[in-house]
Amino acid sequence: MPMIKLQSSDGEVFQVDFEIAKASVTIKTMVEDLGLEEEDEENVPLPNVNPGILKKVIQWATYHKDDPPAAEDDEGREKRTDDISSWDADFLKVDQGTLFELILAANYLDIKGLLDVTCKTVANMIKGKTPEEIRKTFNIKNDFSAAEEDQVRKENEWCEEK
Amino acid sequence: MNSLSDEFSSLLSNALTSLGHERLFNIAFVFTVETGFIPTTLAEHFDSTNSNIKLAKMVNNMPLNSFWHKNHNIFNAELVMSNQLCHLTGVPNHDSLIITLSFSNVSKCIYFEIDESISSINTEHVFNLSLKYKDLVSVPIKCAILEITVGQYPGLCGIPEELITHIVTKLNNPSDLYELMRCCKKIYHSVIDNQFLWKTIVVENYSHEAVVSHLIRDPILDWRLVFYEFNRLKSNRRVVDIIRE
Repeated sequence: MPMIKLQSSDGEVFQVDFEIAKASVTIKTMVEDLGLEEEDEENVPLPNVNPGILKKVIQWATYHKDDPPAAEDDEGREKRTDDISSWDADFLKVDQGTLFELILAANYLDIKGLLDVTCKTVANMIKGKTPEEIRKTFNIKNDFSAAEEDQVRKENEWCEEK
Repeated sequence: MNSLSDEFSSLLSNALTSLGHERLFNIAFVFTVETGFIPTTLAEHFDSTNSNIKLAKMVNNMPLNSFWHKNHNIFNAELVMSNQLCHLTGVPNHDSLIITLSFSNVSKCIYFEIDESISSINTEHVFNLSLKYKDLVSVPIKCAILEITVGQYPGLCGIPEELITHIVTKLNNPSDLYELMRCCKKIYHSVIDNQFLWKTIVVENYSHEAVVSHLIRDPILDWRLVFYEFNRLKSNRRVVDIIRE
């Protein structure tokens, strides 16, 4: 099976099976456009992805290489957040910096499955929390003035489930 | 150890061979480097903030105590993140070390206690300590710096709008959305402007007939306001029911 070389932001090169790297639509397109299919000396440059994160992405793609492709209209499955596999949950036991860097990398590399499961993980961290608890969890500054807070509450009172 | 790489695992093992307060400071130092902070003495070798494996290899080539100095019993290491100078300090306090990472006027602090059960064998303990340190100390400082220097940072408010929207779309419970949108202005707008999200909520919570009859009356609509309107009517009806009873 052909191998390709992925070059991360600091020049570190990773050799990966093309069948695995194909999980990334960005890499797949790049390889096809550049005609790198044959055993080639050339590296696929990924300047936006740091090597630690790239290593994790490869780990994820390797584990999921035999997954059936997701159906296009699979909206129900996409919206559920309680269906994260135990392997993925374990894989995503990381600090928040790493979690959000994985989201950025999954988006840049266009790996739908990884983007989905990382976003679900963040959604699960939000669920059931008050605004103050969410701010504390994600280290967010409250930039609403007291008057604005009042207005937001008034405008959205019907959003609260009665 | 669920580190980013084997290089960091071996770096951490090195840190664990030291003793007492020095050991705690070394552990904090390694976690800080793993977050992407570069010791000032190595900074010239890295032009991007986006290094870690190469950095771990370089740090591994030198003794850890060559990266910090001790003055009046206080540990101090200088590191850079996105060309901004940061200080990592450790102040001994009996059996613990107060560790502070600071940049300009922002600082985050944590207590590390001398604990012999922190070892290369008890990996779960080390791993939990690493998560705690990064989430409370090094990642918030990293985000604060990148927010200023780059604009984008690995945090809920630091990722592009379209990705915040992606996360928000996974929250299909209106009460979770209500709590989330009151966090800060950026998130507020990504929630209220997400028509796809509100449309899905309306369709899932109300009957097809109700939605169609509303659409006939008011074809140009804001799905969020439609949801509020339905919710208001439902709750009014409930009040009327209670009065009747």
